[in-house]
Amino acid sequence: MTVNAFKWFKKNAFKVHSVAFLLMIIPSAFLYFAAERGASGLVWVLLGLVIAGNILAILVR
Amino acid sequence: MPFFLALFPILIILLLMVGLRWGAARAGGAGYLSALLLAVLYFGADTRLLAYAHTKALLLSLDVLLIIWAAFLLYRVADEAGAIRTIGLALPHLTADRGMQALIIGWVFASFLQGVGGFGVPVAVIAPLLVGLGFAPLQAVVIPSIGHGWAVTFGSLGSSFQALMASSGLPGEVLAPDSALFLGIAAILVGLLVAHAAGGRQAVVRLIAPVFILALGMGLTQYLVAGAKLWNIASFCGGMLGLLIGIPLARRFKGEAEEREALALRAVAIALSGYVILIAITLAVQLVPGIKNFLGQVVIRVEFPELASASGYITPAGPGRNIPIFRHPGAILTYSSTLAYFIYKRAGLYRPKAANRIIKGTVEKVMSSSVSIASMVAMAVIMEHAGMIEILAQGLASSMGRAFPLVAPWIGALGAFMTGSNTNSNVVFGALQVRTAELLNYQAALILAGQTAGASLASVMAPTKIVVGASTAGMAGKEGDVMRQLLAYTGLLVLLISVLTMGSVLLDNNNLWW
Repeated sequence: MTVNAFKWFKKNAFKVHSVAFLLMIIPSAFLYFAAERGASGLVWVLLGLVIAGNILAILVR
Repeated sequence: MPFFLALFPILIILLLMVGLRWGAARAGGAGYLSALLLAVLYFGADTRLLAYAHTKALLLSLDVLLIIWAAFLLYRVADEAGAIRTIGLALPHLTADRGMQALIIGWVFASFLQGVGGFGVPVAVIAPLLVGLGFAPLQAVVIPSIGHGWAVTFGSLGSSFQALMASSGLPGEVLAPDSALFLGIAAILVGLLVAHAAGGRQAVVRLIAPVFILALGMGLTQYLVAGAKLWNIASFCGGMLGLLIGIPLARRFKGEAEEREALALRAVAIALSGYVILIAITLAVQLVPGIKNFLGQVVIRVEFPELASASGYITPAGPGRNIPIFRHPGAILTYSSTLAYFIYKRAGLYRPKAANRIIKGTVEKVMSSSVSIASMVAMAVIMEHAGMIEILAQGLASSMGRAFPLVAPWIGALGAFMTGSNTNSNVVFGALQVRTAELLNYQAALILAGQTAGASLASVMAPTKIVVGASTAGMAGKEGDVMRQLLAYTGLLVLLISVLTMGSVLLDNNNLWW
């Protein structure tokens, strides 16, 4: 199961990297506005998305 | 303990890339996550600090990525038209002397290609050309690898230098002269090493005059162009001038004549036209005030408040990286790519659906490096705002003391080796080098010149570049042989930068530290 998942990530490296990149970039822009409003809950949600993008990048062998 | 925890994200990247051979995108993600965790759990970064740090990282990433994307677009526009191949095939017509061929193709043309493209392109294009001319495959990979190293910082249309400015926060006009000077001096040794790789000590002695003439021409051009704030075309202009000087020089070293097809001068001129456009547009945007002001009207500028970590590290309030969107080097490259496309198209150099292939090829090629840049920049900015860079700088300053200028280029070299690029090395270590220089009262521009020159010259040793070069010359599986040869040559070059950095710092401080 795990091996198959890694194979899928490798086979679809470009798509996965594209999603990972967007997850790193787009929430980073909104983080500024969340911080300006002091919305710490929203900051964690957006940070979660950036973290997810980085985890996706790690999964592509 | 804090020093080792602050160092941990950098060690993670080193371990994963060198030890486990992970790519930069994977290792960058791991480095980012470890920096984020440590910043929150140990160094007292709160949500506000992290949020602003991520937006700053976004601006820095875009500043560098706009150039990388557009530089590769221009390269694809030219490559799809066969322009790179045309220029490459024209060069062997100049001389049959093997040493001179190595200099002109493996050094001068490699530097030109690094100026316009980068991303491993010089070795990938030149290694097969040299094999075709009868060079041994090992020589064919080693020669262009050493040959383009001095042109990396101001190459790829300035992306590594842009990263140095972004990560250090210092303006280009402060950083460019020292960086260009160190790399220009290194170019002399690069030329001699290329001659050595081609024909041993005899070739070095025989070709010493052309090496000095070419190095002086290319190095001085890069220095002057970078000094005139045109850092995105400094290396490219150096390579271009090298080609111009190389033609009459090569005729003096003709060697034994071989029968070749007649040189199609018109085809070469059309091939070069795309790059002539780049020079023209860059000069127009930088030197004509009307155009400069008109294109500089729209600027992405974000103000950030003062930020403090729970452990007491304070980042002063101020603007993030300004991006003049229509005057940015990335925009200039995009204008040039568009015009070059129409010239090549009018000359009938494209097959059907070329535009689709150009765009698809560009996006596919840059995506992985975009991910690694985004991760590593975010990692570096988080480390900076959480005070981790400060702790590393204090540790380095106290342990290295006055010998730090000797070490700074090796830090840059290590960064380039482990991350596969001069740009990434500057992103990861730029702020650390500046802070350490400040703590030791050294001029930051000199230390950063050592950082980027060391990284530039050692980036040719990055495993990914070696794999690409070896595969194009039929050396797949023998990358270890290439690395062994490159290690000796690159070690000498970084040692030279180390001595230059130390000497410059001593001259600057006007005292002898021992």
